[in-house]
Amino acid sequence: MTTLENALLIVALIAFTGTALCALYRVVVGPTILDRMIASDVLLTTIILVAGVDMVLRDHTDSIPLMTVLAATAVFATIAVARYVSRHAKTSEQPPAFAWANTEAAASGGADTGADTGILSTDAVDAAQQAQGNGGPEEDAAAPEAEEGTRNA
Amino acid sequence: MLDTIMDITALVCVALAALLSLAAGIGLLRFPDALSRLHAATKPQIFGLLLIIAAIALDQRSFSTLIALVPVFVFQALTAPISAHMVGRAAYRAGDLSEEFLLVDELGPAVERASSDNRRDSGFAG
Repeated sequence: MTTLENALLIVALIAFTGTALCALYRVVVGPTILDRMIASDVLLTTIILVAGVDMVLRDHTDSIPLMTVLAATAVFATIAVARYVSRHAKTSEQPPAFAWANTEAAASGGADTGADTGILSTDAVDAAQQAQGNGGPEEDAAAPEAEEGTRNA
Repeated sequence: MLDTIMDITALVCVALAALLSLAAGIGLLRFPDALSRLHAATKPQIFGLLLIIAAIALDQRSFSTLIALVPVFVFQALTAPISAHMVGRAAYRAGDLSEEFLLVDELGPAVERASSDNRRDSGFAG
C-alpha cells in the first residue's frame, strides 16, 4: 500500500512540475501576449492544485483561503489583457475609416484655405510679417502659405 | 479498511488531476496557435480542481472542510469560462489563429457585420 501511495505521489509531483515548466516555457517564449496570458493562467491553476495537494499530503486545511482567493481573482488579469488586446485589434481595424475621414477633412480644409487666402490676404500678410519678426518655428512653417496668399492677391 | 480505501482514492484523484494538468502543459507546449492552446489550457481548470477538492474531502473526512471547499469550486467555475471567453474573443479579433485548421468559421460574418456597423456609425457621427 505504501509503495502504491509513494508511486502515485511521485507521478503526481513529476506531472505538476512538468506542467509548471511547460507553462513557464510558454510564458517566456510565447509569440503573442495572449499565449503568455494563457500560460500564466495555467501556471496559476497549477499553483492552486499544488496547494490542494499539499493539504492532502500534510493533513492540514490552512491553504483553503489561499485557494479561494486565487480562484476568485485569477480572472482579473486575464480580462485586463484580453480587453487590451481587443481594443488594440479594433484600433488597428479602424484606420480605413480614420484615413477616409482625414482625407475628406484635408480636402475640405484645403478648399477652405484656398477660399480664405483671397479674402483674408491682409491677415496673411500680417502673419508673414509677424513670422519674420518673431522667427518662431511654427510661424516659419506658416509663412510660405502666407506668401502664397499675398502672391495670389 | 475504509480509511485505507479513502486514502488510496484521494491519491488516485491527485494523480489523475496531475496527469490532466500535465496534458494541459504539453498541449500548451505543442499546439500551434492561441485558440488551440486555450482549448488545452482550460481542461484542468475545472475538472482538475474538482478532483483535487474531492481528494481533500476524502483525506480530511470533515463536513466543515467540504463546506469551506465549495466556494473555491464555485469561484473557479464562475470565472474560468469568463476568462476563456475573453481570451478567445481577443485572439479571434486580433487574427491570432491559423486559418488552415479552421473547418467552420461561424464567427466571421458576425464580426464583419459588427465592425461594418461600427464604421458606419462612426462615419455618421463624424
